[in-house]
Amino acid sequence: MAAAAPAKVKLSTSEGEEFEVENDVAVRSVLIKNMLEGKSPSVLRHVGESDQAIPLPNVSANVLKKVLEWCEHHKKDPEPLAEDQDDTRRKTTEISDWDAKFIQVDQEMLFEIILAANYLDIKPLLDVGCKTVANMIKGKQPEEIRKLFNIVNDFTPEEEAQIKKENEWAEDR
Amino acid sequence: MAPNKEDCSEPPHGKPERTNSHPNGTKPHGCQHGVDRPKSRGSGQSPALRLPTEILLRVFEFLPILFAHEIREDLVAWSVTSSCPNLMNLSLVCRGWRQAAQGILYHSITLARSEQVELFLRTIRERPDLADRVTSAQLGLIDGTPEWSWSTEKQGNLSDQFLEVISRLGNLRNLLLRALTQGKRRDIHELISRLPLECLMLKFYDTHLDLQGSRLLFSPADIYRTVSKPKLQVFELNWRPHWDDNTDYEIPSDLEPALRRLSVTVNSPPGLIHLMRLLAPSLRDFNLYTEHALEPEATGEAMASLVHLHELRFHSQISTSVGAGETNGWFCNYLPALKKLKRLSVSDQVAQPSILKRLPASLDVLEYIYWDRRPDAMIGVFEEILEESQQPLPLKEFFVAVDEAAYNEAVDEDLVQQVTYSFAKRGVKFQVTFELADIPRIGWCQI
Repeated sequence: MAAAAPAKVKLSTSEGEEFEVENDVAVRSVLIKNMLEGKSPSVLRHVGESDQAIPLPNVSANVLKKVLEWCEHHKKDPEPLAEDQDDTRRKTTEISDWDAKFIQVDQEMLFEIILAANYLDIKPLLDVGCKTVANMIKGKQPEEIRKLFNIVNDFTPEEEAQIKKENEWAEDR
Repeated sequence: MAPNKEDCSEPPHGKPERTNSHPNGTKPHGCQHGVDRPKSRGSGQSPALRLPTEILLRVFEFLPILFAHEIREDLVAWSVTSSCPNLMNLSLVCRGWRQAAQGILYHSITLARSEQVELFLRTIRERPDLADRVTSAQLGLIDGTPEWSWSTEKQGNLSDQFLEVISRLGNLRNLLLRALTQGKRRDIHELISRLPLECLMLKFYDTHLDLQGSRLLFSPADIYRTVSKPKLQVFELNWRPHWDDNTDYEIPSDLEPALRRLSVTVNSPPGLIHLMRLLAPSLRDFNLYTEHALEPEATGEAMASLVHLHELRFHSQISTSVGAGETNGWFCNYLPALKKLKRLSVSDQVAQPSILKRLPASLDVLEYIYWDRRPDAMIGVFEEILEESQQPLPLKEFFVAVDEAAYNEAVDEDLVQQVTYSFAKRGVKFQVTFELADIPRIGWCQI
């Protein structure tokens, strides 16, 4: 039987820093929610019954702080629909004003937030990050994208030619 | 954020509290689905390259939507990813991005031009893994392209190439077939039967291609068999086949369709009644558009057999040149049989305003389509019906869709307010609109 959810939850970052947050903020993360409801296996089953912090070894303190800021702002949002039932997610690229301001961070932090949202299973935050990246690369040429994100072109000329040939059918005609 | 129990200090808004305990070193058991731990800041690697393919796919998925304004509206509705120019560029950024970008590029394709089809075939013959990425496709000739005016023989050859494309797309779940001409291949039904299709749309329209029976690709029996594919959920027939007088419309006995959504437009072909009867046990949503007065008794009884319907649009627009004064007004006699209907959209040639007295108790939403020049008269009739009848209305919402120019010209706002008030007293939200509601919701299956 699942333990009653505590009013507060402790979260431990990759550096071992602990954050104590309200339950309704923490459960924006489906990963944490499942742990608190006893849906996750073994060691964390009793997490809701004790003072033990939930370890989040994939998330650093500065990123968790930022993620929790988002969770705090969105704690009263309705729970997102399952993805296969959520047509609207696929049809809109709009970002709310608050989210747009929230995600105005340096590239390093942007990608860390995306990775943390994916790890913590916070789909709406993951989408805010993904939409932001999509907007950044929209309409750009490969070289512009490489420059924007400091990516090295690791294709051989033959590989590049092969990809162009493969995708030739999709060119506007 | 609530205060810490230990020191009871209130942290700044939006900032979580920190404590200074040490890590317990325990790896959470719930993180198996997560990604590897990101490298620390300043590691030198581009942070963009830390995104795994699953997240890149999510990012790239938004690009076709960002380009929506540059793509034809009907393609946007189905997110045809191959029309998104950005995806080709993304596949050329680096090896890490290639797989995800091509994954989305090949997710949903549209092919119409001959050269395009040849190039696509060249690729998927060499890279069948890319063909496996295709889950949605729109294939066939398009009016306005040079191919549309080609000779029958050349069109037949191109149609055979379209069929080769289909034969190589083993994961196709949504297929929209536009006009095709019979070529040498005769295996279109076999190909379709092998696919794991959930949605099939035959949008052949009313083209020159079906003027001769020898060039028809689907007989009534083919259509009955196609709609009975076990996984098929959505079927649209946008086509007026000119089957000859000797055509057999009987339903084969061994069919057990599971189809839930059906759309039949372009003048409702012969065989419609059989199709409705065949699908009655499973059909939930139905869109019917006709420009003819259908035979009242037989069509009405077939309509009444659709007892599991949740959503129905029945739109009829009969021009005076076809049948002066004829309508499909018989519909209201059979409407009470649809006892599970939740959302209904009808046009004025299908139902008079007195439909309000015949609504099934299950109905939540009614849309009444009236494109005539005098919407004020029709709105006034609804008001009169409410005054005459104290019968309770099952509805929650009632939309009247009218022509905007006619509305602005003829309708007095006071009348609308009065009618809105009258419906509100009966617990119904009344609204005049200029666009049709999405009743029923018929589209491609999301993948």
